[in-house]
Amino acid sequence: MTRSILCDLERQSYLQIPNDLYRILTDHRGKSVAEIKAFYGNRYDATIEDYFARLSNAEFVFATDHPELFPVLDSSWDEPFELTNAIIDIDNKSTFELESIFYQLSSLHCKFIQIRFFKSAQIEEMGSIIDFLNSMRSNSIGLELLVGYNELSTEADYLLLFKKYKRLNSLIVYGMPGGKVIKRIEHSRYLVFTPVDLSSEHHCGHISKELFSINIKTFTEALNFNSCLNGKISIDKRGEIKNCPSMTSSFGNIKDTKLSQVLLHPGYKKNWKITKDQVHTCKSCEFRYICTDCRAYVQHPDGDGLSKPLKCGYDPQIGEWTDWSINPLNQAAYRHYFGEISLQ
Amino acid sequence: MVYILSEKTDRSTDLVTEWLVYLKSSFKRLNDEERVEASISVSNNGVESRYYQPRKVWHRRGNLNFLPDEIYDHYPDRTAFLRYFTRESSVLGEFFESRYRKLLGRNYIGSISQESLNNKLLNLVLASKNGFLIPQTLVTSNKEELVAFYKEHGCVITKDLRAPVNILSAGGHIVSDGVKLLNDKMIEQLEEKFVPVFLQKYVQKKYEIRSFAACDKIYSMAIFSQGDESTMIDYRNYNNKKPNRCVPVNLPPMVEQNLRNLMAAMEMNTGSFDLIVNKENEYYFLEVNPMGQFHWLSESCNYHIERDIAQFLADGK
Repeated sequence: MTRSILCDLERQSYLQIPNDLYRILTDHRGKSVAEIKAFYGNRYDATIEDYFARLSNAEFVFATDHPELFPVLDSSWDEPFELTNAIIDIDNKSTFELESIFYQLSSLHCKFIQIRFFKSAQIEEMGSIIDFLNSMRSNSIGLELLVGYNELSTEADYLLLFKKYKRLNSLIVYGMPGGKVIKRIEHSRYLVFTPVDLSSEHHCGHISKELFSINIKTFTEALNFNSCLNGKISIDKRGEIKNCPSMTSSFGNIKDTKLSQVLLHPGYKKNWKITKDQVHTCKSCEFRYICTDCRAYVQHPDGDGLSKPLKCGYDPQIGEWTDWSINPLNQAAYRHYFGEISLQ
Repeated sequence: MVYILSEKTDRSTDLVTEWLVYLKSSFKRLNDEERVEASISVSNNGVESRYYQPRKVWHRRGNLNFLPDEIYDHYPDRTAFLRYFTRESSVLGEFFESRYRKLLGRNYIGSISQESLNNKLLNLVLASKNGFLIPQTLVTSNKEELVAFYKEHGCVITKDLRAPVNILSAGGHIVSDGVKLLNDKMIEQLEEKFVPVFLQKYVQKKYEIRSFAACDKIYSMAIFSQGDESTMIDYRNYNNKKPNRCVPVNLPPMVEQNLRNLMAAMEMNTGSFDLIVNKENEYYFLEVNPMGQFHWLSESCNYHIERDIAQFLADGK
């Protein structure tokens, strides 16, 4: 790792720091600045002073005569739900019933549901889903819809969906010609138009700085669990129940398997516990606790299941981002997952 | 049965009830906005109620509400009639609280009567008796005295005596602006006669502490509000763009004992305390909110307070 970072969980940002400052902060916890300087034989006094002046300015540190009063922040993650989020994929050939899935997710207290339509928007279909959700007493409190661009659907059509269903947090229209547009409906509710093609589960798993999440909940979750799969259940477009629709292992089909049964399956939660501290390359990456993960597309598909996400272009050894898809090391994995389609 | 007395939109209650569901503990949430039926009979054989046999109570917020919704159509604004009926039925809520607080002891968390009787001045006196420093405080309606206090201490803050301003008047919605530093202009604008004003000597602080107490535990958070002009006077003058640093902190054992003694003296088993640590590491008591918010503290310090409260309520089911 070339650098370290300080994660600012309150202000949702991070600060890059040299590795030797990381050592000072972790190895010398509770010591005075004078003791730290002495530890390094007083050869780096000016540097150490400069470090602490900078940290103090950014309010990362405060001076105190009573360090014993300031305990280490509890790093546990604990939520009163077995499931936190669900993905349901639908294309033109999907034949499963949504209603029963909604009831099951509600009784499992799954808070967030994402429905991805791998087809262009049919307002009537989305409207009837929303009417159904409106009619039931559900414990699921947040819905996200992802849908392909349809030139017959207007912005007003989409806005009506937001109006009809207060729990619709976001609606993403992909494959729309033009640039990305984000319309804020109200606090934490967004209508998004993007030219990016998201018409299949193959488009998931990207790792980038833009997807970093820097807050106490996601940070502690990443310390203890997988930052993508923990608390997740998915129903792919054929109704197969999986950790994630992009993965191959199925734990049964929604037509004859209950979600609660799947949660009891000994193998189902295995992936939930893969932390970044176990993933090769990631385990020495400074971003590992604020980054997402992908266990569906990895650099070595035939390896131990712990290689880094394929769609990550960051190399922590040199501290640089490059385009993952043109990295020659990734070509074999690319062909393994996506065949010979030309790279974008 | 576990009863939770609260309000419909209280987020902390939602979070605790999520944990209760997870712990498979049965409970009833009675919101201020929703009517419950009255049924209490009192005889020589004792008290009987068809509905309320609480094993534990968490009195988070609000009052029990015994009025039918239709009454609000009859008296749509807060007319004297509505006030009368509210006051009449409040006897039942007071009965419920005072009876079950006595019977359940520590298993009755919180109190609405303490919220309404909460008195900043009495609290300061009690805090001082229990080992806390308190800022020099003056409540006055005398201009001469006010000016003298201002001249003597130089840096003086003023805040509400009971609750923040929240007045819906013909002239618009008036809300208070938090704690203010007294200045010359404010004094110039004062009439000769005015309503009692709360004044306090400004304490130079190293940091503030918000301590929340519940279920025999005390959870404390240090708030470094000194570096920010908007929060220097009081952390509640929030700066949303650059929130104050909030970190877990422990009270020194002596101070924690003082706080427990103070709570005993106030007959409280929960509350949010605002403290200040000055440059000399001395602990000042500012005020207490018997039904204060704690979610912010719980989240910033990753204390899982909601889980602890739920576990306390679920225990011994």
